[in-house]
Amino acid sequence: MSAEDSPLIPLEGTEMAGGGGGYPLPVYLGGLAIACLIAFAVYSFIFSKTHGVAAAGPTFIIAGPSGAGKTALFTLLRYGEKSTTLPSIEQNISTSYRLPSLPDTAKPFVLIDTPGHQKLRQSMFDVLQVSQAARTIHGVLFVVDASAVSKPEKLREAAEYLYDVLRVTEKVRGGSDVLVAANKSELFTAVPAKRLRTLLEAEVQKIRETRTKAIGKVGLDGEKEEEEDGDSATVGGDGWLGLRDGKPFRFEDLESDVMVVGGSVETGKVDDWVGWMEERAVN
Amino acid sequence: MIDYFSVFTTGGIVLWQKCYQPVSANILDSLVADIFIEDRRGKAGSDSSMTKDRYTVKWTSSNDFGIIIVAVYQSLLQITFIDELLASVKKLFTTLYADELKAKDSDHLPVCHFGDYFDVRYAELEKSTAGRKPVSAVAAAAAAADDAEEDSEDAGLKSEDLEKDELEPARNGAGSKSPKPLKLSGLAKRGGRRGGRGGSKSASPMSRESSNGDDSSKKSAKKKLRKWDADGTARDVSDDEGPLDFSASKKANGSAPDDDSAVNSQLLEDADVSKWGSKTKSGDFVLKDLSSEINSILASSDEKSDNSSGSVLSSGFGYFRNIIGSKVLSEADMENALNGMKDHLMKKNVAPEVAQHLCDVVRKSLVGTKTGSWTSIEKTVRVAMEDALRKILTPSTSVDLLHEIQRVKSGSSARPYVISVVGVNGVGKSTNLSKIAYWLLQNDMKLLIAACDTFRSGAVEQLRVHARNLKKLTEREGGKIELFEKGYGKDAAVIARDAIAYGNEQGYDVVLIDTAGRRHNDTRLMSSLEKFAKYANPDKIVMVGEALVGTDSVQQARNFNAAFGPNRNLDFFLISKCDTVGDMIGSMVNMTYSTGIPVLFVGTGQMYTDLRTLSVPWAVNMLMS
Ligand SMILES: Nc1nc2c(ncn2[C@@H]2O[C@H](COP(=O)(O)OP(=O)(O)OP(=O)(O)O)[C@@H](O)[C@H]2O)c(=O)[nH]1
Ligand SMILES: [Mg+2]
Repeated sequence: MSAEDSPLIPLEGTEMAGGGGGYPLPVYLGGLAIACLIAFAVYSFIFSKTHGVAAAGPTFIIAGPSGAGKTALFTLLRYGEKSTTLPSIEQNISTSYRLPSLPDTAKPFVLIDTPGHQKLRQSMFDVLQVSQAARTIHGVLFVVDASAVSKPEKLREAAEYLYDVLRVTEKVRGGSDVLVAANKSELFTAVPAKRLRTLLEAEVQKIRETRTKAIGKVGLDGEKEEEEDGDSATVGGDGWLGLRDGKPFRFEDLESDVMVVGGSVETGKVDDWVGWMEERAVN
Repeated sequence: MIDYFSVFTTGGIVLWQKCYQPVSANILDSLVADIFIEDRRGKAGSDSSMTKDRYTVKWTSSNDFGIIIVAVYQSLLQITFIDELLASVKKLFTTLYADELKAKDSDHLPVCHFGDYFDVRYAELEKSTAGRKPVSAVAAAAAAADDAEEDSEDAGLKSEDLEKDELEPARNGAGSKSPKPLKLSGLAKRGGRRGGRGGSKSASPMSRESSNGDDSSKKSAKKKLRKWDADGTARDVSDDEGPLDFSASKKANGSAPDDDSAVNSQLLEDADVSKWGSKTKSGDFVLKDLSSEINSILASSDEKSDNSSGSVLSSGFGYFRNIIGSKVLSEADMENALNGMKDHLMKKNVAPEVAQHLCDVVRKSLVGTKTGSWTSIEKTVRVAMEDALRKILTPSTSVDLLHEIQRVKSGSSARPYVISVVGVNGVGKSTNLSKIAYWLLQNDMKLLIAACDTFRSGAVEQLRVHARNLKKLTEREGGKIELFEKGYGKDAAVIARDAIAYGNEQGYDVVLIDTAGRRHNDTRLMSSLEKFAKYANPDKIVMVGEALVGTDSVQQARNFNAAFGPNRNLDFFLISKCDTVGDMIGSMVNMTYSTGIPVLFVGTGQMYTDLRTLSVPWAVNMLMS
């Protein structure tokens, strides 16, 4: 599924084939040992990658445009305090995040804060895809600066990123749950969650129109348009989101459960978001 | 002098910062993004400083700890000791908080009470450069050794010559100076309480004073704060004291999980403490202690680096290590892999300059990090190179032409959307302009093509043929396309302006402007582009570049990008003839590298449909194959 492990798979395959013929016992043993080694190598390779942790345990991913407050939310959730931040260049990962309401004995969560800069989003799609494939994903917190979306280009950016996220979450049966966290709601310029929902829906509607009309991507030429080998996850990606019934786009039409909930990291008003996570912690 | 100084993680968490002058968060954010994400650092010259607007930023980083240290100051100022300051802060920080920073997933944010150390060191450096004392030699040596470790660029002083005896002047220098703001634990607790929640939110750094117990015991404890481990790492002697006080901070967390301590600002702290510090009889001693502690930390770097590199055994293990991974990478380790990588990239038509830069980026990003288990150096370098290429090629902002055209069209002051193509002779400007036209026609746009190549004979006719073909092709779907031409010899900028005016009158959606091909080093023709940009003021200026050109593409892109005057740049590239080069698509890396402008489209053939959007994973694959 992810492009990284493909070079290793054929290697393992050839080993197996070698073991199939009529070789003396030492060769079998040697082959077995090598196969074990390679299996271990593959295993540790997957888990040594930074996004490997997403496959290791129940995971929540924090995504969203730059400056939305993801890192501030991450530190608030994980350490109980909002940190001063600068733009993230790499992910922040905690493998022992405990939701407050769950007993201490429960398995801790993996919480991953991803950089929001457009050039750095690939890593977020990587962990999302890995955790969806491993069925460890419990939800995506898509943080939006609700005070910035009155600017068309900011709304556009948020909607485009959300669109790309949803295209990935829609790929698994039943979809993945997405919480659009309308952050910075304490500012008077912030739009309420309900309004943000309509704004995003309208923008996504526009995006899916132009995306389908966009010029196709190089290298994909016709064949297996649907699979797109992870390419849809990158910026751009063409394709349709939602129903093809001629009606405007609505989040309800998606397999993924999308909720828009207001809150503020600044004032510590994140209970609704934590509640959302807790609801999704059990399954 | 310095406006802003900060130590932060690559994850974006500020561990410690100091604001001397308020610098707006927007500016800081954009500086960080420019330097560390978009790689817009000063291309020519140093790779650890950047000047933007009125600020200069200098930085250093430590990959093994995942931290970046930046200093921001007004460009007008010359701060001579800034490199030294950065180097010594790096050394101090990574020594003092080594455990805390290395702890992968601890239950609290790293608590870094760095203020005192910084102040003392800053004062020392300031003083030494003021001419009264020679540059604190120990520190300079430390800085040099440190740099040699990571950058090998700072020649610096010979470290052998500088031994302990140099410590004395430095210590005296610091000790005899006027009482310094001095933070004594326990005091800041009051400060925090006074500060109150939300009091000083804007400049609130991470540093948190978390202490308990009475003041007097603290003061005495402070003096015998640390002892030295063999590896030169400072360890706390006393349990309940010191900048890295786990137990105390936990207690504070437990009793009042979300209390005012978090908003306790550094400035507030320092202000409070200075009052107290001056009243403290032992203040000078404490200060002296701190200064000598700092100097011994800085001096310790020499021994450390000697130890790690001198071992005979380690080289023997090296080979194994390369197979099973988990090896801490040094520059030497990567040399082979990087050289191979550079050759590989150059075979793909990446210019030597660009290939070198990419290798430097990869080297910088990997040195000091550990390879994953079962991951060879080659593989690690490869993955890092893929990342670097992806970062270069991915646009910073997405371009959705249809959406933008729609917006201009339906906006309050509706007007045609103007796209113009520029480029060197014979790269396929007109052909690719027609391809874009074909795509727009299919999306029901009404098009006007402006023939502004008034130079090369046949250019207008060529466009006329294209326009006629396109009309025929899309007639059934109601395609509307027209050619605007004024023959040869006239000023292209004027024709462009007239075409747009005409397009506006006639209700065209898009005006596509073809321009004359010009060599990027033909100053006369290039200079006319500025006027063109002013007259036509296109929404998008597209440079068509050939996939075939190699190294020259760097300069082509640079010159064209600079040709439209100080306030206008190219918007994106269209790389033509990609079908003819196989996987040697290096010129698109050259062009994005040299300008920061993304490649949006690639031309893949002679047909009107042979236009594609660039897929970054595809390009990275091609380049790495
Ligand atoms: N007013 C207000 N500001 C907030 C809130 N949450 C976060 N911020 C501020 O928003 C800014 C950006 O926050 P970050 O957490 O760094 O943003 P990010 O989403 O991690 O950004 P990238 O790492 O660049 O993707 C910081 O200055 C925060 O202090 C909030 O609820 N209200
Ligand atoms: Mg962040």
